[in-house]
Amino acid sequence: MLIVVYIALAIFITIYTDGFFSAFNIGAILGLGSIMGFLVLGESLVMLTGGIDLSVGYCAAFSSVITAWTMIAFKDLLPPSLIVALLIVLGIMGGAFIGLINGLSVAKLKIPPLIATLGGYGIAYGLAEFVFAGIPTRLEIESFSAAVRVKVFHIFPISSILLAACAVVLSLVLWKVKFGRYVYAIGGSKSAAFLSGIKVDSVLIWCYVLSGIFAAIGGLLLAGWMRVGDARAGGGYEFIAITAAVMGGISLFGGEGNVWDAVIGIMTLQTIRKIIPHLRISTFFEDGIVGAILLIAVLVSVVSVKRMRAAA
Amino acid sequence: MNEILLRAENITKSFPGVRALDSVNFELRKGELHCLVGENGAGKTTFVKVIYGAYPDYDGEIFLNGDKIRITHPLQARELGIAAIQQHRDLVPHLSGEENIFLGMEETKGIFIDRRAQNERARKIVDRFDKSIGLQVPVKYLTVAEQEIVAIAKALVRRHRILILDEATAPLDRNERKVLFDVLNEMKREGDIGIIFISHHINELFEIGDRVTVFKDGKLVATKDIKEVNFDDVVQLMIGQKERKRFTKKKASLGEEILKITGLSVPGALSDIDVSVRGGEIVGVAGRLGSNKEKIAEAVFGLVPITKGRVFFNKKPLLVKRPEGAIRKGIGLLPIDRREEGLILCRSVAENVVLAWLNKLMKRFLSVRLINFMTRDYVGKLGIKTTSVNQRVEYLSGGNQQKVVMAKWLTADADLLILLEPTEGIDVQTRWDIYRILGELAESGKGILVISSDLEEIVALSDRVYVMSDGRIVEELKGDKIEYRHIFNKTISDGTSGSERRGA
Amino acid sequence: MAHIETSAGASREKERRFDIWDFIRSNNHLLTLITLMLLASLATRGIFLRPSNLGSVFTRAAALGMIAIGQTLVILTSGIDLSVAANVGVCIGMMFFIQKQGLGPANMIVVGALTPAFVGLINGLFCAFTAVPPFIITLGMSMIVWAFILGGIQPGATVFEDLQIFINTKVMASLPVHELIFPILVWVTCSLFWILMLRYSRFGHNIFAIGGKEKAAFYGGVNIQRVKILVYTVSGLFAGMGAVLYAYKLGGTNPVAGKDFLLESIAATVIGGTALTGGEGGVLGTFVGTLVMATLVNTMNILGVHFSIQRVILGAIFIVFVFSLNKIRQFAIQKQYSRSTAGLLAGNREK
Repeated sequence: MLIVVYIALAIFITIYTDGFFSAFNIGAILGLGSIMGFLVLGESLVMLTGGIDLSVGYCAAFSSVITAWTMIAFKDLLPPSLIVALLIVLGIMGGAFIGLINGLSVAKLKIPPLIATLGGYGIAYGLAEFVFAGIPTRLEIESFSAAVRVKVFHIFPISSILLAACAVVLSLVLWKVKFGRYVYAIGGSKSAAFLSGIKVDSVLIWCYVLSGIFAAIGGLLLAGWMRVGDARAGGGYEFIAITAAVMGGISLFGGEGNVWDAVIGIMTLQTIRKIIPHLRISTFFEDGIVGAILLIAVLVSVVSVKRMRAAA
Repeated sequence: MNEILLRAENITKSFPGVRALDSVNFELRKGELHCLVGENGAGKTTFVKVIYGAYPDYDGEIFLNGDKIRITHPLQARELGIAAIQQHRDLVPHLSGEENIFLGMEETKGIFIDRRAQNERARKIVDRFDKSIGLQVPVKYLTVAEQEIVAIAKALVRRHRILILDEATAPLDRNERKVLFDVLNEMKREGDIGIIFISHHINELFEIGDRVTVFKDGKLVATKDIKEVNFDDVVQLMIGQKERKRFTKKKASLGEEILKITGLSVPGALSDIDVSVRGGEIVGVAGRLGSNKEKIAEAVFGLVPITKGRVFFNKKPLLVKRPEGAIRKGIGLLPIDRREEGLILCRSVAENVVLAWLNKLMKRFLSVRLINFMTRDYVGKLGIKTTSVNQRVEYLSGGNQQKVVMAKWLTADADLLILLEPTEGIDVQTRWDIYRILGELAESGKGILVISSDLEEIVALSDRVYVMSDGRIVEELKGDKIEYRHIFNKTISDGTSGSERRGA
Repeated sequence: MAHIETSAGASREKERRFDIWDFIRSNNHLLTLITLMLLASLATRGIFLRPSNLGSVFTRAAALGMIAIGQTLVILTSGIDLSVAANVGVCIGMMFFIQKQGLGPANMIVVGALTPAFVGLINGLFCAFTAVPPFIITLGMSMIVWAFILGGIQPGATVFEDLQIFINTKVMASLPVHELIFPILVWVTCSLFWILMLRYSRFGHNIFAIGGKEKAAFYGGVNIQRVKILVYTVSGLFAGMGAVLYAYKLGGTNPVAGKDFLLESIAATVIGGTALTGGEGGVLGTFVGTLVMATLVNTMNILGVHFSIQRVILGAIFIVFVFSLNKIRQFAIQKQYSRSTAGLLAGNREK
């Protein structure tokens, strides 16, 4: 269904602007959009269990900072290819760490996900700022950034291919593998899942860890794309991720939605964000418009739930 | 002689102030469908809750296939093979029937779930019961009966040996009931399973039951083979020879008409209801559990909009959109679920008692001393057992909690008090306390409307009774005509009802 | 009638008997504060207790305290206000704007405080009339507000000298106390006001009722919508007032400075004993909780802990606190419950 909205949007745009859909612009949308897409994948996973993850933004920031740091710290000690491998490992570990804290808080300490990931948000924020005292730091290894910016067929950035691959795998797991079905079960009815013998705690922790890992991957790619490791870069992204997920049909209450629609959601959102300068609205209003979209999307979903309940 | 699957000895369970089960001895045989009957609050549901693990702190012993066990948690009970089937609890609404049946024990081919194999197995089980159930759609789109069958299939796949169905037929219509009964008979034929079946519809016992056990006031009265008893015998065991005490109160002089309802209809629930209550009288509305009689209260209290019919309060048309409005006019409601709707459990007795009063009079500021004084006054008058007026209400026993709700309306000086199932789950002593209070209220000129499925209560309290069945008022009784057996027979139907809506 | 008198007499007896668990449960924030202050004094080898330092602790607490009061009221109704940081930002932004227009400090304060109040009003309307969870509403509004600040007003770092002079001369001159007491005075007064309101007014009573069990409050005649709208508006207003105090104290700041206040306001509320699910707690606890937070930050500053690590620690402490306070609460409730059950059953057997 969302595809229809996107197509309508695309038609509207082509009519009102000239040549917006140039290869360059599409590449730009896909580039940043696919980076955000990783955060959306993780956020969707958590939301499917009925929870929420407010820490994905700064998780990404943290891993982007780790990227810059690793390059500097090991500059003369290891060949560039090994440094890149190392930074990938470290970055993912960082994301997994934050995710683990979130997951344990939610599953074992029984803290509401909103509050637990607010704590995670604070921790990630602090860790990200700590490394370079918040100063955006240039990435030493140029080839890394160049690699991230490569565009297949001059249109599709590497990150979008990577995102597509991850989305395919995640979708597969969610639809065809036990773990994925358990995610939906927990989101649909935690007690039914528990009484069916599912290890709810374990699944929840994994979801938050994966969310952290996906956010970290996004952060790595972001660092490459922007050519800096920036602690401030992630702030506010969690919000965009949530909006994209809701637009894509993922219910705030859990148990419904699929990741593909969420990915379309983020692409739509990114397109809208790119359009704004063309419509001669100040770019600072972007976030506000996204905020408004979130409220509208949520209202629509809540109203339709009400309507369905009344009809039943 | 079939083997004994489950044996329970001397099961006793108490709640604050109430002994819900008293030395119950029960046994379930292989291949039998054992029905439990009894009035509201007699202990049937409490008993099965002990069996399926909801109340781990029981006294007494349970033997499963001869081995002594201790049931501590629903999950543990399931692992032992005991499961209560409740579709709203067991099934995940967004997942399909097939997925729900195999949830937690999926068939796999490598790391992927083998949908085909699962579907085959699921269909094999479900087709025995009903070939038309779609197993690939989310279960929330199935009818309640179909959901129940899916839940039963789920239990079968897990090889549960003891299935408990509590009021499983309540939301079903005639055809669906037949399907369910065919299912149950089919299961009995397998021979391995024992079924505990709770129902208010006594006729159902005779359709599928093998043995029946009657509960009364927390005690197990008798266990009989179905072939040895008939309908009246069972009813007799349920009600017993206990003299139906009529609560005596001074005949109050009847005042003006406080409440008048004419032609109230709610689609699917009520048809053409006419009720009136005068100051000084206690009017009862008797009906089975779930016969939608609560909707009458909802209409008067502003909880549902009135589309058909009219309500007059103190001779003037009543137009209220929410409880606030009704309370301002002088109406009070004791809701069915006092823990969710009647009381704020984490707040104190005093705070609960003054809530309606504060909002009715729109008092800006309150004096703590006055509130404590007022509350202590009512605590004394109503005999509320609490350590202090600042005690959190959730620590009080059910009966005392209900008294707090009543105190709330006394403080707010309601002219009309509507009570829904007022003494459910409350001990005998407190019940009569509450009846006394209601009597005093009526004597002082208030109007009281008691809507209840507890017929003993209706008979004890009412000056006049409206008997409801299938969403209609079938009879109005006054004075001597109010008689237990008569009302019981009128409210009991053959268990089906066109007006009872199905679905979630 | 005899048994009723016994129970009344018995109840007076019980009230006198000291119950350690109840004491811990209802005063845990005070205990936390005292413990923390002791630890702080030890860790900083007494620097913490120097009057000048204590003064700065209190002053810092004042701004946070105001914001936390608003957050507490919202949380008491089972809601949450994720837009407080944005509200602080918009206040500072508006003050910058008014200052730029040359409209004078009095107008700065008024507009600065009322703009976030307006945001709060919108939050309240959404929460009262739609079924959308408060966290989404306030989250969405916060993004819209940030966009407004950064895109519309576009302030940079601002110096609020005029504000300081204004308050020092006009407002504080008539009072016989030192000027810097201004933030503390405002904070203490507002706290006192709300402590009294929560205890002695119908409005306060209703707030607890809604947070305790909204359905029961509805059935009891509470106008749920009015209370919710008011509570979120107050939260916005107090976030604005807190921002004014913050600007006054610092003399110059920029809107983004308020970002930390979100986590801290919730932390102060929770530490102060207000349950996240609502219905329990209060502003007195939050007052103490705010001091705890201020003490914590101050101690870390003295010890030279890096600013970012402070954030990490606060995040971790936040989680730990939410968890352990919940556990203490549950445990104390269990004890109370079994004690009263035993008492009631004993009472029954006597009959």
